[in-house]
Amino acid sequence: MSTLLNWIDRRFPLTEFIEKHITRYPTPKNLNYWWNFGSVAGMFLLVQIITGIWLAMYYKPDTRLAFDSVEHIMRNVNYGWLIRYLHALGPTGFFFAVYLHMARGIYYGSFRNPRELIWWIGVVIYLTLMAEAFMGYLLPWGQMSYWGATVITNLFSAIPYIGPDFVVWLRGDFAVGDSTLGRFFSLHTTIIPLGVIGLLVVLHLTALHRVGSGNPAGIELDKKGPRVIPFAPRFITKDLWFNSLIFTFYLYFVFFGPDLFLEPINYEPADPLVTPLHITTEWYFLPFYAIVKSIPDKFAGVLAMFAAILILAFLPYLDRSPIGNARYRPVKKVLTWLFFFNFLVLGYVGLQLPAGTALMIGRAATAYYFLYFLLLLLIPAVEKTKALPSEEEL
Amino acid sequence: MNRRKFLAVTTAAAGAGGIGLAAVPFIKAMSPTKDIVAAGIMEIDISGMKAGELLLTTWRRQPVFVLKRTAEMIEETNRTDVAGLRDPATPEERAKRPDLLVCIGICTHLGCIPGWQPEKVPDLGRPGFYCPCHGGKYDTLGRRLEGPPPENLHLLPYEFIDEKKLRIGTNEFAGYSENIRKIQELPRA
Repeated sequence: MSTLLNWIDRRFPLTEFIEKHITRYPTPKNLNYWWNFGSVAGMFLLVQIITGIWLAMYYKPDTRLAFDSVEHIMRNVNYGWLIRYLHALGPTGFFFAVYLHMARGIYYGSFRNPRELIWWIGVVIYLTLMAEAFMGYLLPWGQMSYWGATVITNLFSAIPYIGPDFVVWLRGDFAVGDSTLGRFFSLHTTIIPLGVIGLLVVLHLTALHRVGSGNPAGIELDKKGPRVIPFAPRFITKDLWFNSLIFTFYLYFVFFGPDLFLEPINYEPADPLVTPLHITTEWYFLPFYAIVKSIPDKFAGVLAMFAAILILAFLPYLDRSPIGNARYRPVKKVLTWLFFFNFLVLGYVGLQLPAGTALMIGRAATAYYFLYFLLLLLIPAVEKTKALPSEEEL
Repeated sequence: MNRRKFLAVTTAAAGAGGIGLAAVPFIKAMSPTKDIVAAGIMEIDISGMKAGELLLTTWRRQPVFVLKRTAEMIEETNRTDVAGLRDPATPEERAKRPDLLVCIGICTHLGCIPGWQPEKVPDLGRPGFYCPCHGGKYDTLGRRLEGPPPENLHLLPYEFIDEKKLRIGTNEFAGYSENIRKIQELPRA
């Protein structure tokens, strides 16, 4: 075994790579569980890729066959139901992990110098993930698939001048149809997951391993010091057990409640002449759907929705206090928790019809969503930060 | 073995076992789907068949030979020296009824469809099946006589519903990798 390894190592830096990026990667020993969700997200990416490969063996991207091919997978393919439910519920686990991973970054200031690039790559991964999930949702060709795709592609018609033509180009037809299904299938199964998300994850990790992980104490730790330990075995073990825990919850829903996350109306084949009474998105898009619904002007609503995502990229320049970590910043701490709660409120509003109280709550929550970023810029002037610990105290 | 080594080995073993179990549904998902397996039974009308006539049909997308054998063919195969065959089988082991051969029409060499030669298989002087790809020769019971095929033509489950109708196949028999060459080894149709 070691002879073989030596043979390879003389020709390819295998051991060096594994030691540098996994087993001996210097990791702050004070990481809490908020630092586990990147690895959880990686696990779900893997699940989606593997189950996706299997689904593509039987799925048919043709409007006349798509719906039935999914039912064929559910009924006739051996364990097809399992593979499809794993894939259909994967995004729920994936976005759950990604949102907590992002919340960690916002709360502890992980986006700050020298980690801006990691953060930006992460924002692009998040955006791409939304596109990937959205395109995948069209494939079963159910009612909600069809109308969800219709509504979301219509968002682009808000672009001045070129909007309507752009939508037709995007769909490859005057309404969502066979051309749309074909291109969504192609993008969803090839370049986006492997070329874009896969590549960006590698870049995300490469950038991380250049600057090293942050930690909840709010100070940079000396990588050679006693507070930073090799990734193996402690953090491998911690990741393994925590990923297993999350995977257990995920499997609970896969086996006992898959339909909790699937719209019943999507078990009806797409009908271009009948719009379902209530169009909703998957839960992970709801907060942004709420923003679009809260703003009465079409163009402004769409702009606000994209701005709500893109504003995350400006965080390194909006949060300019000498300390990024909310643990040592009483005002940021309160505002940030409020921001997280507000995000959930937006999610709730996203489920409601845009009228009455729901509309009012939606507008207030939309306002706070953006206000948070403005406040981040302003509060350093008034905020009294707490003293940071020294490395010896940890 | 120290404690850490023990934990590492047991964790790795549990992980490998878990991955192995998780692989099962993915491997099984690549087997023929349930609708394909369920469509494995079909009926064939044999009432109009004349002696010496070959009926070619498909079962599970594979060619199936149904040959109504003449008295001369039956007599000729009865005379064949079974011990001299590469894949020895008596006539009773090849057909449920002497006058009817039912077998899969795929050459056991490399999978071509042997042609029916009602008069004479080239260089053999008796009727049978001749595979054009590499010259495999079979008699009217599908037994390999000459050429590269290692085995006799494979059999599939069948039973007689009545004088006119034949039921072939099964909804359980996997239909691939079964390699059965004797009637007695077939699962029940």
